[in-house]
Amino acid sequence: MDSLRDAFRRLMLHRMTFFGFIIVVANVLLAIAAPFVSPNDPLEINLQNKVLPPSSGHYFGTDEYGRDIFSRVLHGASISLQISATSVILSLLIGIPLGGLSGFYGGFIDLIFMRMVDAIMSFPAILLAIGIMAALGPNKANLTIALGVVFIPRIARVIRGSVLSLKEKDFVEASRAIGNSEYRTFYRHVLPNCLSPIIVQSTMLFAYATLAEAALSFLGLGTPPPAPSWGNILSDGRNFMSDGPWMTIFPGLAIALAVFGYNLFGDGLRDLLDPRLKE
Amino acid sequence: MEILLEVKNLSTHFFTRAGRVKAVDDVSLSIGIAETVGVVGESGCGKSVTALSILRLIPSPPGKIVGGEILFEGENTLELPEKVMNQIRGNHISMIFQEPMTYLNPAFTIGDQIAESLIVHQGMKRNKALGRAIEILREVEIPTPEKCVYEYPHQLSGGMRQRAMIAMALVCHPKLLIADEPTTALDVTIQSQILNILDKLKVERGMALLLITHNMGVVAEIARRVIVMYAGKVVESASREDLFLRPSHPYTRGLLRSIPRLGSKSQGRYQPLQEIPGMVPSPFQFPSGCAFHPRCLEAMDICKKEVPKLHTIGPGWECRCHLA
Repeated sequence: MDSLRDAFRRLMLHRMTFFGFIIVVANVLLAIAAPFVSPNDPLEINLQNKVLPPSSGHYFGTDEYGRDIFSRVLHGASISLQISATSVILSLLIGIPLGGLSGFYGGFIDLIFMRMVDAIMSFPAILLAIGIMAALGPNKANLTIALGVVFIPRIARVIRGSVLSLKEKDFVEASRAIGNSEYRTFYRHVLPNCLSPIIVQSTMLFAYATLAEAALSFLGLGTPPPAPSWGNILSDGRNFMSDGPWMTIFPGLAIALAVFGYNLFGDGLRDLLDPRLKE
Repeated sequence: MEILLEVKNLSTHFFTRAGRVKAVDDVSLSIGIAETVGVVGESGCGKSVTALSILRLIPSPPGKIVGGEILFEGENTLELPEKVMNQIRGNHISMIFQEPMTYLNPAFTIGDQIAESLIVHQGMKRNKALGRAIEILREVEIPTPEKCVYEYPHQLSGGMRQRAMIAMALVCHPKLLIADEPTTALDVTIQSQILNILDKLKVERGMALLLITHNMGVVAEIARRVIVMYAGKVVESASREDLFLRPSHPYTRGLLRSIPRLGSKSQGRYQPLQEIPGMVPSPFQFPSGCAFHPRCLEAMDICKKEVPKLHTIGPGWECRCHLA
């Protein structure tokens, strides 16, 4: 665990990464605390208060149905986080074994898996997600599956690359020499050494998932309304861009800030976990 | 002496795009219980491939054991299924390697890597295995074993890492330890410490040792019998005394002549260090006849045409030379 503590210490030294880390932590905390701290029910319609500008009663103003945008943005963080996290985890669960086996055993398995991966990668990611959503129908579970499928090839590629270089290492031969089976050698000695590329790739995909979730919801193919997903809030405010710009500015800011945080953190992690950059 | 491991006519070839490489060709050797056998030769003569073949760790493809038998306690390991072979590796036959840094996994502590053998072979629980790891680290003379078990490989010095690797190899009390150039990457003082530890543990445990090295001094120090290899073949096999006092193969004599000696003088003048002329032949194209003939000072016509047989020239003494 020394290495973890060490990584944390270096994280503190790296100012931009630390800034990203703070944004990520704040985002997670707000998402968890949303039901307790938001002043209004995000779904409560109050037509007397519609299209109000930001004020002390409604920090971010209200939308065309009088819903409190501040509460909706807070709950949106929770939805965005849920979908990003589950889709990245789904892609890790499938992508790691896929890429790992491909790289470790090579040959025919590698050929089949990598051609599958190539096939998925040949579509632009967002277009493929739109296609899958159109086929499955918009709801949160399907959104997770669609994003997961889009991310699998990216994870698999990264893992395969690491495994290909790791399996030639001497300690892998040493593992065989002490009588470990091929399978044990793979998961005890090869996989743990893939941890840093996995972490880095995951944070990058996390940022991408947040964007994609908002984009798909905006297009009406993601989280179905009236759920307060960031993309939905943006989409609702689209018709009031000149009369009520707060309806689009605040969810837009939330998306931008969250993605900025993930990217800063991810970039920093990549630098921190790169052994060549260790002091 | 009862025989522990017997290698009979082993041939391991590599099938590459550039052609077939006969890395090990018709090699026979035997190791008795608790005996120490040294294997010497230049880089690329097939020493390491012989060792890896014994454990069946030849990367395949491109490598393949194409012939011969490896009898461990009378059983041909080449015919055993992979599962049974896994129970032999690390448990009955262990191996240590030249470069201790790259053979230790950077992601795990020393303790966990030593404990792994016990967990795999004896089904021991992790905590108990870590306790055993501390004991074995003490046996290989690591000064603070309680601290070392929780350290990662990069926190140890080269000599400490080699000790940790010896501990890893010996924790299951193997009957045979194959040491592939265990001291090559270490400086001379550490070398002698490591050799002393190996020698001590070997005697204490009645373990056989197959020591692969290109250092004649190391062999002279701890091996009882010595096998000299050249171009994938055994060229001389003799007791330590015979080999160093009465080397019979021209290659062995060349090797012994090319060891630098402190203050070696003849007729009051310093002599330049003698060498074996030429280069180790390319494994893709070994010379015809005796593979050593282009470099041999005593080569005759027959050496170019006919591969010499391994002649028995004394008790436990064999030599592959037309002159023998």
